[in-house]
Amino acid sequence: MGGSPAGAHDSTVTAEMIILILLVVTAVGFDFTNGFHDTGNAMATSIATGALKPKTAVALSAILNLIGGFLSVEVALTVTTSVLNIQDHDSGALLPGLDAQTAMFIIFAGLVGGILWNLLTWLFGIPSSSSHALFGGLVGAGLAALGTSGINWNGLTGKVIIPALLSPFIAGAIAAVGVWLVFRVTRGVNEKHRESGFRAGQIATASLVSLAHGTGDAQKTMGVIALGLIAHGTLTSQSIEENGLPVWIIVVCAGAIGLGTYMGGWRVIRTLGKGLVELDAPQGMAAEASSAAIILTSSHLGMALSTTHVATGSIIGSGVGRPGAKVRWNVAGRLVVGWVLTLPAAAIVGALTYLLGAGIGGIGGAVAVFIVLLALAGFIYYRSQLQKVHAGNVNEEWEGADAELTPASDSPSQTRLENGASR
Amino acid sequence: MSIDLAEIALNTVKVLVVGLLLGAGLPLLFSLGIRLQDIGHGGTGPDGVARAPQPAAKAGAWVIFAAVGLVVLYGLLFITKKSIAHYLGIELPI
Repeated sequence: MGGSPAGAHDSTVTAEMIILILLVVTAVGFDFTNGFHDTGNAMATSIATGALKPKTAVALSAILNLIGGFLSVEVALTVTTSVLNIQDHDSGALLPGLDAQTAMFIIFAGLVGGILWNLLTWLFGIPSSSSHALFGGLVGAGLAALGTSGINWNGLTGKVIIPALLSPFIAGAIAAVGVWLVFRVTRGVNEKHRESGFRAGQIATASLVSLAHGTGDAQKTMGVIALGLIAHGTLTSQSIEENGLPVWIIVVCAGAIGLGTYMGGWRVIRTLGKGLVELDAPQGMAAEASSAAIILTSSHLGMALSTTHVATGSIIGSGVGRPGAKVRWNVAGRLVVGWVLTLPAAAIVGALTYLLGAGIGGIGGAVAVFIVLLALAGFIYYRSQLQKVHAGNVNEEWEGADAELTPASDSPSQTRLENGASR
Repeated sequence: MSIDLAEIALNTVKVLVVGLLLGAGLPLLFSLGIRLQDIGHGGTGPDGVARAPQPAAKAGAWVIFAAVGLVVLYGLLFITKKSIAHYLGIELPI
């Protein structure tokens, strides 16, 4: 090194390259958590009603998410503009005056905030929005790096917070009306015809939700990776406009979200399918039809709603609208607490991560952030193994109003037995 | 950019109306299909009285299922519209 200008330049180049690589790896990791965290949005109802076997359901959803990822030709390149002021709103290029390392550390730290919040809510079986977790992480990192001027407050309120407040009510109302109509019309119909007909309907609607999820959510990670590459200077927003994204980004992101979905976020699936209401096939079909209709149309109507909030609202609504069904409002309340915490909690993690990374700076900072991420993720995974939820026990009875989110009977030793028996 | 509450309210109403039409209307249609199919099958009704199979009702059920299927297919094409244009060069008029 010797402090010569050329040597200093070389080391900056190496540092930026390593930060970029860790950023991309972390983004793919986020995409993976996005997959398993959201499997339940599409498949929880089909799994709970027995329309599909648990493993079949996640496999189907995974394939559709993978296909959906490849269908994302129009990349969400301006993904950060709704919450941050670091990108041009039209072209997606980085704003002038922002140096590459700062921009990359903001994105990197935002992703870490998103992943850790996704993992934590998964541990507690809370279906929280992956996009909110990402936005929260980005906001925190942006605040730490640039202060309040780095945040697009109007976008944060109008495009993230208000829609999140409205979506459960919109979805709940639609599903409640749907399920009421369904029960009214099919009253007195032979149980066998009713059950088989609605199971088919459930599988179709759940498939639509899965495909839409792959299309929408894989795009976000692709946008984040593309932004990292733009910040680094490897890619320009013009070249993306002209030639589309580099194919490896599409392949990796579609693969990661598909693989994540296949892992099956069983803890979240259990809460959605068993915890909120006891579902039967007509109810599940009405809930999933409401979710599919809203997820597919809302962004075209000027309001992008979170898949998670819509799916949860629909399932609750299907319990409200069905005569005689009861909703476990204490479970619903726990989910609402999780949603409210998502933005601030992910923001705190994002901010701390940024301060750690940028404080140390360069390669050291990036590596330190990555090690902290791996350590915390490993710890959460370890905790999850103490009380496992898997394809074999996901549908166990939800005991009592105050039941834990994980099946009560599932002690570690029993899990081992079950796993042994099933193999 | 400022927060336009009127626009948010308008968009909410739009999402709600379209959502009700598709998200509750299609399940309603589908339920009608299932009911017709059940009538078409005949067998023993809930009152224990035997009913004759009715081919017309069965046919009606399949017409409804086909209609719902077409709407879902439209939904699929709608999601994949841009990709179809990108990969196959076919611009769908939807």
